[in-house]
Amino acid sequence: MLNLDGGIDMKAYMGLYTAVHNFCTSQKAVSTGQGLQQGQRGGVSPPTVGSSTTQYGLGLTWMQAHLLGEELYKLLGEYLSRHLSDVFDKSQTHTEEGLLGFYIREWERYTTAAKYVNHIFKYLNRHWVKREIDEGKKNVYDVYTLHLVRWKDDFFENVHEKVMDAVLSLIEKQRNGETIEQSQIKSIVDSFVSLGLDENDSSKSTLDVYRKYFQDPFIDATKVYYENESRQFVAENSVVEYMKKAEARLDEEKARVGLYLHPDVTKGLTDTCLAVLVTAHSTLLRDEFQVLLDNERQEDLARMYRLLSRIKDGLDPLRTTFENHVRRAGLAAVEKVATDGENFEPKLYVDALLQVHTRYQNLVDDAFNGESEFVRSLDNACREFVNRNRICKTSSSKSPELLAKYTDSLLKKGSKSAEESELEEMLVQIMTVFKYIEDKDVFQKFYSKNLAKRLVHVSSVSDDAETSMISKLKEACGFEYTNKLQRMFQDMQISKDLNNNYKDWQDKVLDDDDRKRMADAHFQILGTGFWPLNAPTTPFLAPPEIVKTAERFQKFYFDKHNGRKLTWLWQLCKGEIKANYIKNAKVPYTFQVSTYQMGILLLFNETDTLTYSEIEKATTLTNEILDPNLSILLKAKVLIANPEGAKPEPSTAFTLNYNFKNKKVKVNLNIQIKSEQKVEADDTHKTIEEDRKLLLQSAIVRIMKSRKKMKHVQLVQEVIQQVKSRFPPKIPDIKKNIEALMEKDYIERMDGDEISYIA
Amino acid sequence: MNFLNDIGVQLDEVTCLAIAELLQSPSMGEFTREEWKRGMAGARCDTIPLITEHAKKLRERIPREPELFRRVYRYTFPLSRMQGQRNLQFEIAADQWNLFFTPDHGGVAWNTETTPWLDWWIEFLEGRGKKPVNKDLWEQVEVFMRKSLEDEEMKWWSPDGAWPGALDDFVAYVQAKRGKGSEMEVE
Repeated sequence: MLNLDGGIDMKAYMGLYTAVHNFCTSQKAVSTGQGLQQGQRGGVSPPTVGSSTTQYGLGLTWMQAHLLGEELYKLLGEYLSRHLSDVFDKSQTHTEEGLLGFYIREWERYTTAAKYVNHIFKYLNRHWVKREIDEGKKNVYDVYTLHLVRWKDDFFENVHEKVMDAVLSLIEKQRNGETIEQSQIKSIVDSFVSLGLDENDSSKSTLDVYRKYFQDPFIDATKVYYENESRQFVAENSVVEYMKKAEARLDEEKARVGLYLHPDVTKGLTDTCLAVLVTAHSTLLRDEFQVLLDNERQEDLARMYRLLSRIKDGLDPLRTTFENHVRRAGLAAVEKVATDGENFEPKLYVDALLQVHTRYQNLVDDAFNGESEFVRSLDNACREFVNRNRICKTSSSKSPELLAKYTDSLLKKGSKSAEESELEEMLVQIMTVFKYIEDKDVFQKFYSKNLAKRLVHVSSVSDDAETSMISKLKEACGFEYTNKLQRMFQDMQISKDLNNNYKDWQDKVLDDDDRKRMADAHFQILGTGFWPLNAPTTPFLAPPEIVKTAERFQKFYFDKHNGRKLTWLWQLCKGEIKANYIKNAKVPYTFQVSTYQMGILLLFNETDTLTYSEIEKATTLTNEILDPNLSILLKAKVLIANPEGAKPEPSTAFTLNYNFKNKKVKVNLNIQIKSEQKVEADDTHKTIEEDRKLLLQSAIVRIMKSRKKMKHVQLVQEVIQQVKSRFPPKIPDIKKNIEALMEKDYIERMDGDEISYIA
Repeated sequence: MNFLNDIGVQLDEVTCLAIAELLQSPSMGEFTREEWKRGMAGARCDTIPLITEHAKKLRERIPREPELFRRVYRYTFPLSRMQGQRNLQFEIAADQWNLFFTPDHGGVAWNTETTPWLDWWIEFLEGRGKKPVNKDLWEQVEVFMRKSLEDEEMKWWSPDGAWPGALDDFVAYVQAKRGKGSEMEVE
């Protein structure tokens, strides 16, 4: 070590070391009582350390042996004090940066010397000092520490204020954009840190001195500096500019720590900067938030988020503002859709909802870091405007109804069929809206209606898309929600197999004659419990051609499945008939018709003209069904009314039009009737009410069955919990159903508002 | 009937129903031997004068002892039902309420300073179409009556409480009626 520094030659070092050793051991001789008092004249020659020329002169006098160690220690201390007061005198001539330079120079020299002196006095350290410390004496340190203590007490205490002033003014210069000698500050920091000694254990160091004399004044100065700067800046610049400035400043300060400060300052410095730069101006920032939202300044919003996210409770007011803003945006979008009256495309509505959601979803992701609280605000807002907007005003179930309709339009074969990948994406989007829908049961009802129609009429875009949608719903709402939908699919598959079997059976059983007169038919067997379909509302006498086919199938089916009941859903059946009577066509026209229309038209195989009552009698259709169907046939000019232009009414007669003409060979007459649609929607709403009652009651019974006894309030809460994934139940409705169950003796009221289950 | 006359109890007073409750009469004016014996033994009555005495006591106790009152009141529901019916016809229920909730026939008066509760209640039910009264509602009306006598401002009531819907609606009805009343005063 000595060689490395090459400051003091071995001989001098050995001499000094031996002197210290001898001095201390002589004390030992005394204490062992040998009476031999060895003289030690302590002339320690000046050690030369590095380039420094500090001189340590230790005048040691002949003393009582047991005091010798202490004497040496005390004199060393006094010598250091003298040296330091010299240093202090010299320091008076320096100021500012000069003072810093001086301090650092002296400090380096002093500490290097201290290291050597410590070595030389090692013997003292090991024995006398150690014993003193072991005995619990305060204010006795090993020699190196003694140097530091002296430095602190005799020099540092006198100059630290000036030194700090210099440091702070240097930092301020840097903050003002000047270049400074950073290493100086770094050295000062190190020096201050070294001076931190643990009172109780001198071998450990603490940051106390550094904190008290460096950190505190530094942070105070920082605070004052930024208070002034930010006040001035805000007064002269826009909030947006200020945010940029504040952010830059925060980064700068963070970098400063890494450059030349002690890491311990990080927290205090950051907190101070945030308090002064952000918290103090948080109201101003927040006021700007709405403006930025209105102008969609994503970058500035992100900056504001970053700033305010760093202070306590900084974002909470923003969340509320954001939520309100999104809700207003959503409501406005819906308002726009609604201006065109009731008859808008469901797509338009869903798109409007989606657009708002997507826009703010992106904002949350990009500007707000996808923070979960903002996601929640977004969700809250979306739930609000999806379920409560102008279009939903008449009925809260409007949103799910429209969404289901839109879904149907996507999944139904049509001219606007989307690409497969595109379609999948749209289905995902539908699920986004679906997530916010509160009346999920309403969606389910409409969806299953539409699905039933798509399946029965074989008008699905693709099975894959249907399956994908159902699995999405299942994922969102559970098995029960899609149970029936899946059963519908199964029925379709079973029907397919059944038809194949039926064909085989027919091939075996029928003779040629039968086959000639047979109508080619496809049958679908749909389980009553799973399909949202009702028996026909009108009696119908099917034409004999169909009846025969139907009966034959029935026979086949009952052979296979004894005891089952089949109901023919004529209103959903359709067929094609060829119009061989029209002579002017090369290829006979084919009419695509409903079974009812078929029933009407086939009557004309026997005669060319029929009166209204004859048709009515032959088909037994009710007027509500018969009239619109006749109208369609009249409108398509398949039939001609007599008198001409008459409406279908008892006095009208109908004649087959032999001069029928159409551009297409296949003519679709099977058009859904407007009034039917309306009735259907109304029916759906009605069944929803019924289903909700059942759902509530079954939930109540389920809960009570497991709990046996329960407080009324708790029961209501739990019912809400169980049911809310389907629809948000109203408390009066729950109470009504509790009462209904009481009346049915499922449950009874006990004392103290308790309900108990009757087994 | 003669029996009631003998023990000095009128048909149209609550005491009569209390006797029925005591003897667990299955329907109006009908008693089973078993229950009769048990009831009489329980009240330590075996002679007409003793029963008369007991009836007199009951008459005094009913308005004063809420528990006894409630027991008799609740017993009245199955007692007054028509054969084979689950619920009490509105007319009968109204008669019984008039019996129980007025002091003239040995009941408790359901009136407070600001509110003629009983009259409003009957009026309210008439307005709703005189629907039959089920057991739960019957029993809860008595609880409601006690509560409303305690605090006629109905601070104990909350829309999320366990009251039957009919009583919830009645609260709204009473509040609306009072609202109108106070408005008139203001004018």
